[in-house]
Amino acid sequence: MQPTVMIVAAAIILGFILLVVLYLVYGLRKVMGWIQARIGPNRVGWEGLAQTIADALKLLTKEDIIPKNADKWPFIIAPIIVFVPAYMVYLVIPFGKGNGWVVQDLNIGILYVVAVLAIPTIGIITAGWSSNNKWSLLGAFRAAAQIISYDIPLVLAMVPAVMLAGTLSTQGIVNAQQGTWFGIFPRWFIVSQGVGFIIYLLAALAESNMTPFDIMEAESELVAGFNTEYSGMKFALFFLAEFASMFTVSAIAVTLFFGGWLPIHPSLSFIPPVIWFLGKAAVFIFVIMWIRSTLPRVRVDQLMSFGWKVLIPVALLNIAWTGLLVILA
Amino acid sequence: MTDSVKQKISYPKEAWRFAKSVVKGHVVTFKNLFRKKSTLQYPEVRWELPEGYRGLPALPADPKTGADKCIGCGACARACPVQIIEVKAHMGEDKKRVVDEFSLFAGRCIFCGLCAEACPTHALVMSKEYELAEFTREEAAYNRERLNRLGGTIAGQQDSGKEVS
Repeated sequence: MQPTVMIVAAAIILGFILLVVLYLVYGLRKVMGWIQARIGPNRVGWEGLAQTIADALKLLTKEDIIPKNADKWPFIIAPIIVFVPAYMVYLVIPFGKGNGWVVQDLNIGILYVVAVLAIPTIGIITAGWSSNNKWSLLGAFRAAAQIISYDIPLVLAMVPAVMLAGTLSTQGIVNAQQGTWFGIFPRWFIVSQGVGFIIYLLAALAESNMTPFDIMEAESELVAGFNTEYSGMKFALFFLAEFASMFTVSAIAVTLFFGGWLPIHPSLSFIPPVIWFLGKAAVFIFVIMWIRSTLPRVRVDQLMSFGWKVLIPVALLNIAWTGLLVILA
Repeated sequence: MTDSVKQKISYPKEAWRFAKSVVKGHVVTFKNLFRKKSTLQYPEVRWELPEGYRGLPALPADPKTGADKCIGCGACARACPVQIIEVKAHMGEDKKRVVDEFSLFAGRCIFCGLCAEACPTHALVMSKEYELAEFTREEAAYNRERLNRLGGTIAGQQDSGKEVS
């Protein structure tokens, strides 16, 4: 790719992330409000649509505090290490049909996603350590333990989709889901991968530290976990990364299990693929918000035993079953 | 033998119960999405105050005479548990008490309604006024005119004022 094209693509993706995060935050507050019989933000702008913009401006104008005893450089770099991978994953997300709708259709797409999603751990540990605060450090320890153990079921849940498609490229996986069974049912991988999808969803929630797996920033125990000492722009970066990965999780789920940008039935292909993709992603974003406002946080030991004793064996069994399918087909 | 004491847990059963409760919880929250919102957009939308609501006591005007019905007996001042009502009156020429001063310090009012209950002429009634914030302590002191004005907004309620039995 030409360097100029790359820069333009990077700018477009950054703009997309900012826009998505802006309205994911708004959406989350609205959905949680409705579920709790509240109204949610409705003051700034029409129906509160400008609320997040106001919040972001407030964060940007805040004083940027670095604690006196903090490790200065790691403290500054940590939010960047957390945000950049969340941004990099968008490189392989197939928003629509053809190469024009994906920044770079890597032939190792899914491997790349898995690799990049594991990087924020380093940033979180850096943040926790450099803050020189016991809550931050405890949060960072928990984060490290959690992300490393949930990486495994996450990868294992992604493998069956790769096995069925026979390729690691994200566009390739979507293309492999084309067509229908009996002319009605879409040939999406969810048909044989129901269990895989649930494992993926749980592991991905834990991986991007969202409720009910947010023990690393459990506010009732750890103040705010690894980002206790952060404020202003640096805090905004952590926040941005969290919501950017909320979209990533949904987008990858759609790509792997729900046919990406493919319409639910070929007769509905007059609706542009991008709309299909974003629409499907929106459904999963809603599901994540729904889970978030329903389930209480799991305990640390429960989280670990659930990951190792339940998710990993079940994911392995799921791979075995998929292998059987691939051989028989 | 600790085994006999230990409660036996059937893991498949527990897992099933767990899965069921998770699904049930999500159903509950999903139904909540469409529930009537309990938030009241306060300054724009107000509560519908129930009959017998006790706001600040007021002296509404009698529609017949145009003045309040206070006879200066001081029953309210004696009934007040926080002693915020002060009535000053003197004996007039026709052996009737003339009210010189009627003051009520809203800052300490506990809205118990005992003053309205004690009033023999139903002159003092509980209004429905609850927005009583002021910038200074002095502004929270109500004299007779202010109580009249407050009562004027609920004119016609004088007779039902003593419904707090």
